[in-house]
Amino acid sequence: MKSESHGIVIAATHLGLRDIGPWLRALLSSLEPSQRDQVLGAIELAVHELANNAVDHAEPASGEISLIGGVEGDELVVILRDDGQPFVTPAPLPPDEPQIRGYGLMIVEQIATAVDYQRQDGENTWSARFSLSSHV
Amino acid sequence: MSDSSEIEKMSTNDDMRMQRANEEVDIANVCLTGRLDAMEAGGLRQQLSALIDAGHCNIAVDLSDVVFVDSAGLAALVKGMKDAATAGGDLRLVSPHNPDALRVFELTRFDRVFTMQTTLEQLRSNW
Repeated sequence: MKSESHGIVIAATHLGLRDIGPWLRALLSSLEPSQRDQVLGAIELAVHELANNAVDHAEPASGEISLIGGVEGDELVVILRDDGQPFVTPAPLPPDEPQIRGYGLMIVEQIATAVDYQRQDGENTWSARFSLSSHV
Repeated sequence: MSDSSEIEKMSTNDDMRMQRANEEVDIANVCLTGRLDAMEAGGLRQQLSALIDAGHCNIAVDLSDVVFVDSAGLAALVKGMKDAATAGGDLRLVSPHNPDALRVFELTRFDRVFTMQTTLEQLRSNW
């Protein structure tokens, strides 16, 4: 695990995803503890799901996922990059029959105030914004 | 009204049969702690499959001490629920006490799909 001022590079493995929570906690250390604890769990879940998509589907050639985060006013902005396969939009979930997989992005979209994906120069880039004043 | 007074009021044969059936249901308990994430989901899938293959198709999964659940952990539980139903049983949950662990069920609406109770005793007695 390599750390920068507001960034981290994690192993693109399921074990590597466990570095996300402590990194986010440190990133939000300027918040009042009660406010941080209100938003941290949901943000961790969303960032974890984005990174897990990269682990399971993109399979980054470098074996790593880089994350950069920063507080902008009342929001936290997190950017994830990997050099794996391009993201393919999953088929919509059927309305009635409970499906076993395919809920990751649905979860992210409910927690984040905005989610964006770009494919550029052989890299997947996800950016997500999270409110720090209201929690899901 | 207490449970004992309710039992005392049961007088029909149907009620008594239902009471005996609840007492005789074979329910396997799976107690989880810590994180139920992509790292742990594969192990849980194997554990649930082994129980069902061994004939334990009614499974109570106790999530009360779980602190984090992601979509991979949820998927393992959903697969277990489907496999248990196919085998003629059910997989039911003791709700996580930690709201961060409950969140994934609420966001995906699976809190309305799973039978969830707040304690293992409630889950077993209401089976």
